[in-house]
Amino acid sequence: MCDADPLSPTSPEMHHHISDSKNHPCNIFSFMHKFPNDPATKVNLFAAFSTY
Amino acid sequence: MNLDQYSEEHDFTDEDRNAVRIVDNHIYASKILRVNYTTYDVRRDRDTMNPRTHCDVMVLSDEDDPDAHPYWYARVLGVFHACILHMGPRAVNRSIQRIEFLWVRWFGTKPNYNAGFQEARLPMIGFLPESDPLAFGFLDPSLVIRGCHLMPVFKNGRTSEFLGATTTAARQIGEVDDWVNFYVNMYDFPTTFAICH
Repeated sequence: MCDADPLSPTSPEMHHHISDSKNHPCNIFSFMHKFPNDPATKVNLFAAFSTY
Repeated sequence: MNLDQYSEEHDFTDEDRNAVRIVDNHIYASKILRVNYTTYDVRRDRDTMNPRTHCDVMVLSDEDDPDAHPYWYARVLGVFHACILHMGPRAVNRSIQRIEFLWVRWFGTKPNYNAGFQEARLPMIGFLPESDPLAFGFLDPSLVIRGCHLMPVFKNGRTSEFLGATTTAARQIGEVDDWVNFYVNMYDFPTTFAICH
């Protein structure tokens, strides 16, 4: 999925660091359809976002 | 809207779900997750994890039972960020927000199995079965303590009972089953376990 995704140096004060890159977009609907009948993709993404 | 950390005890209504919009219906995958943590001798160290290889993390357990294992473990299937809009009456912040999240497959601890230094046994875990609604989920990366090293319990063999699908995003390409159990290598971070026992 991500062949090249360089991550800039991480400051030690940060708890974690994830790239800001938008080089690897995933359309959420086609992603779910890519793996039909896969329990791993039957997770409620919108419910997860409501916790933030 | 602020909820407790794992939210599995909260039932979201359709109205709650409809209040969240993902900008452009796109989420963005990342290759690397770096987690900084403080070691037992008060130094800063770092784990760099890549979901394309086995990428396992540990978080604090949310269980109240004092005899419960202090940590939960998860395999990270993907590292993502997205821009979202939270609308509706319960929204606290109505501007576009960038959020980060991990797509994970949860492990469970083996029932009636005591581990630790006194018992001279490593913690033993296994994937939650697909019938468990909590087998797969999303995790806030700020809750990750650090990465962890898991070792297959070879004598218990492999199984497809936890996840019957042969084509799944939850496994590496070519894998069709899972190890029944894993040991958690607590000798990577003995003080972390000693403090909790």
